[in-house]
Amino acid sequence: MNDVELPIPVSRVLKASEPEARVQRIWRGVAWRRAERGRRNGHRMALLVASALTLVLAVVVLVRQRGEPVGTAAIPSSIDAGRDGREFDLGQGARMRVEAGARLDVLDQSTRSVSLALRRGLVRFDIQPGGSRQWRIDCGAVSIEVVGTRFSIERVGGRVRIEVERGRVLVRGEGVADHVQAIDGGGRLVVSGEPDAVPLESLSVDVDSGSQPSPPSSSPRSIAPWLVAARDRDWKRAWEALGASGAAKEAARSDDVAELLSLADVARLSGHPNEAVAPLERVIREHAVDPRAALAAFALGRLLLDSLGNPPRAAAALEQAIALRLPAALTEDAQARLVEAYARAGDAARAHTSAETYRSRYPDGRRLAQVNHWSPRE
Amino acid sequence: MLARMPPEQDPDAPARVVPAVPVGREATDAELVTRALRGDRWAEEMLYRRHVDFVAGLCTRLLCHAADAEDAVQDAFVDALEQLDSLERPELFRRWLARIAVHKAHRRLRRRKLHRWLGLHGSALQEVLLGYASDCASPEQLAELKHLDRVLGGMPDDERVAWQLRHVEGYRLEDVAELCRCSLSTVKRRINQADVAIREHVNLEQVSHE
Repeated sequence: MNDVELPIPVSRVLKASEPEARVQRIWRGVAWRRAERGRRNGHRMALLVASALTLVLAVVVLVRQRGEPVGTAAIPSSIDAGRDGREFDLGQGARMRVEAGARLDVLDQSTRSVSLALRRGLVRFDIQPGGSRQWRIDCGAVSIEVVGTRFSIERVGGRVRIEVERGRVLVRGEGVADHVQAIDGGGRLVVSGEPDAVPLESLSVDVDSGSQPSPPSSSPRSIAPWLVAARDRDWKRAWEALGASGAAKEAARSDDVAELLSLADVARLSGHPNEAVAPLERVIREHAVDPRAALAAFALGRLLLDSLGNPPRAAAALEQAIALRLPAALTEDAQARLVEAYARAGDAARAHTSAETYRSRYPDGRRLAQVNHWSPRE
Repeated sequence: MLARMPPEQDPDAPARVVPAVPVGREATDAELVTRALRGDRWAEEMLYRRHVDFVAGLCTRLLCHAADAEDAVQDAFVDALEQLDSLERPELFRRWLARIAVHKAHRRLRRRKLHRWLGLHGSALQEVLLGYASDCASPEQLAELKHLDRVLGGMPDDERVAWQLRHVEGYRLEDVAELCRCSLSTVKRRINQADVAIREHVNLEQVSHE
């Protein structure tokens, strides 16, 4: 034995908090078990007052109903509304309208629950109270649980706005006060904070990389108007200042990492995602030793996956981001998105390998449900 | 009688008056219990969030197995939220919840013992104390935690649980007796027996004899 004593109580040298992923997982289990108990109580009473024949029929109906998919109200696994919005009748009085430009993925759907992921845009829900299904919508760092209500969710990058017209929703996320907030009819909540809402050039660098980012070029020429507007976070003005073909010219001309990242931000955040590709690729290709190259690769991967519909290239960019030593806080996201990229590219084998990597590194990961959706466990 | 729909899911329910919490002050457990009893699901979740770290840590350390502990924690919260109306003193929610959680843990330990007796081998026990070590624990303390895990793992459950509740979780003797649902003298005997075995192998702070 060494000379150092453990204190009494020993809890003085133990952690007091649990990982957030575990906390959320346990809560989902609690909600599910309570719903199951409620259903069992209801059925038990129905059997007590029914005749023997009705009892047999009720048992048969119970067995058949377990695990059935939503049926005629099934939602497509991925909805990209394009130019026109689309409306869906979800059964049990529930309706959903996916507005133009919005993109929604279905993570899970059954008679018991529906779990959706809003990637971008505006979706309106009208869900009648008292239905048998639990509804949950993930929007990056925020998730919304529906009790029975009319509400809308809009996601632009990492910024999520929830407006409730009737009823109540519960909003959960690390950026939410107390990790959970209740929004009632007439209420609104805006949550932001995911990395993709933050301009790349302002993200801090992992100091463990051993190198510091080079400051923006201090050439004697005056600062370009587009760059001034970008520093003011006025993306629309910055884009207008670039003019026609200006983004392409700047991407070819500039050799400064900070400027190239600013250019990508301007293109991306002013609604021109295609024009963000070239500057990001230059950073990755010509400045791979710069710590920001990993961030550029990650941004490119997400752009290609979410906005430009190119999963194979997205997978390549995400692989590069991980290989270039993305900061630890983003690596989990990158690994999860990689699974999605391979799955959507039709490469099931690589999707499976990436999913296994994710599951072994992050057994309690916050993207586990998405990973399992894109590449289910065998 | 059929289970009633919670008020906030029942469109025909009369408008409820849920007491407001004064702005700028965190709701007490008693206030949250009152709100939860009136169907406020946010209050239920706040009760959960406020106490889940404590309950999950307690169950994991008693059961020495993360997955078993999660089951026990879920069961404990389900029972607590479903039986809130039986809580006579809402301000003692945490203590009442701890009692439920330890009871759930005991049930699992008894089940595990039965499985062993039947020759059904369960999952290996985990080094939970070492797994819960805080970032401030010194390497020497980590080594002692590992020894403690090993010694506790080889001990009868009754003695181990009593000793852990007293000397790991820090409960008073009377509370340990209540949580273990046995007499004070039984608890003292179990703790002393465990203590003798543990102190042969683990360097622990000296405490007064019980």
